[in-house]
Amino acid sequence: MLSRHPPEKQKWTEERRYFESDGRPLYGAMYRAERPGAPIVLFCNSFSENHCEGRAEAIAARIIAASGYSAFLYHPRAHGDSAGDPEDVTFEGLVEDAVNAASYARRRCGASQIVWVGVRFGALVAAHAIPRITDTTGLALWEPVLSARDYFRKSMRHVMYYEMSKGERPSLTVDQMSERLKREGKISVLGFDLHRNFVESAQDADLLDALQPWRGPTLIAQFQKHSRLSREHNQLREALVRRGLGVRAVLHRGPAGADSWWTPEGIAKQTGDWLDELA
Amino acid sequence: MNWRETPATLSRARAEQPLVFKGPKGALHGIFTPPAPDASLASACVVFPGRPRSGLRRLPVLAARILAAEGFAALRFDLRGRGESAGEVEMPSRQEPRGEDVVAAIRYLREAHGQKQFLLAGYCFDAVTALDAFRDEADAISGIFFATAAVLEEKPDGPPADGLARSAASRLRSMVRRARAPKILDSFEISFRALARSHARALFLYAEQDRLRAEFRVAEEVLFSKLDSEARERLEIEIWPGRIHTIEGQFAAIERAISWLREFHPARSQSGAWREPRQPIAQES
Repeated sequence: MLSRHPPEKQKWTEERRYFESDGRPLYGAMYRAERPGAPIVLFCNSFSENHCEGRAEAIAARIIAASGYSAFLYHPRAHGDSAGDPEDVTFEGLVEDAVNAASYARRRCGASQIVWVGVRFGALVAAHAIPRITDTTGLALWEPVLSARDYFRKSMRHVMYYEMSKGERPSLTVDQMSERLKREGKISVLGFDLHRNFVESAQDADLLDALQPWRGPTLIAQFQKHSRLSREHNQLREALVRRGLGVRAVLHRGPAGADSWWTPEGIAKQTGDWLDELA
Repeated sequence: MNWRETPATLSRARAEQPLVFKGPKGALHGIFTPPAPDASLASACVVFPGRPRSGLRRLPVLAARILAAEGFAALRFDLRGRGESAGEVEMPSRQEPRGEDVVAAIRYLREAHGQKQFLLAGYCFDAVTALDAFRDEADAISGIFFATAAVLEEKPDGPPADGLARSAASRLRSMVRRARAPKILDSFEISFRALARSHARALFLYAEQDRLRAEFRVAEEVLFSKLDSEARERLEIEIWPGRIHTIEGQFAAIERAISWLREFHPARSQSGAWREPRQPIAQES
């Protein structure tokens, strides 16, 4: 049993090294705390958008480690400092990386239980990884992607918005982008590429479907400027509650005029408080 | 250029060493890629400062592995306030390049990894940040690849058709601004003069249809025109058609960085291929 009133700040150490997943080295950062019996918090941020910076997780991992929980973040194949080609990435491959990251992280810190933090698309990946690994005791969903298919279409729509913001007529509609993706195997969507292999492998991924067997405590963290839970997040919360899950929803708005992803301190602390309550 | 992973670049990925070193505002995090043991060794270590180090589409990651497979050591690291590095997140400011972070990286590589000479590469703000390191470490830098960065204190007025309706006040401000002579950033001028005094080579890369081209034209008139012939020979300028200061333009810019940095490899210079042919025209995105 964990103390419900941990010391304000606990000591932790940081360790960065590569680990193997499916025959390739993946980058991982361990924030190792010494709280006995505590679960490890595993950040799963798995797809190009939001992944390139990784700063929110790095800041949050330190705050969570200072609360006494070891934390681990990693770069999946073809992302960040890990090896691999984007052309070859499939959804199954990302899930495999998440499972391997969890096994590696547990071995490194000696924890037996895992709390997943699925960030954006990583929420879908974490939801698919949970049934494949034992002893998940909690799931935090940070601004989760609910449906891969919708996510891909939104990514394409952002290209149109970007072109319009520059006073240009959108060069392609979403349907035309989809057709080009099928035909040419790749399209560019503002700083990252969508590859046909990946889209075809992931497009049926759906968060609520994947969480059918999940019965553990769940945190939904919304990273938006709204003062209430969005319709989509509220539907997710209600659906999970109907299944009998204990769901906490928190709003992370960030300071005015700033992207809430740049200031994850508040949400990291709330995630730490939620972890204390799980104990 | 084929950016796909090869056995050689995968081997460099396996050899990479995450590292942390002290910067002026706290710990800076990066990845050191050692040169391939079976490659002919280059004498300089390539440094990519980044926001974050992996950059868009991981171009610095891939570039570091490609160059390491050919014999270069390479470091990519997060500038302060970005990626895993300590420091407050701030919007990049043309007035405040982060040259001190690059200097910290150079000194760390010298002390901890025995590196003596360095090649710097940067795109946009990372380019002025790399150049800024010349203030303190000019003698240790053999070359700098400088792509499409701001060099004036204020943005010059852009073409009116930028898609946004402009207010009368905005137009008035632009008129006042136009009446003043454009002023080169002190930070750029000081670093540029240090570069000119050094023995380092440089490649300044801009594209004709980028707004920043207009800024660089001022630098050409004010600074490059006063260089002596020796310095003018060392400090090359390439102006491409189209645009490179775009998300898609980075591919061509980093590809050019790789080809230019290769010129510093002893094997390359001995074989007589000192100057790489120019790259294909960057497509407008």
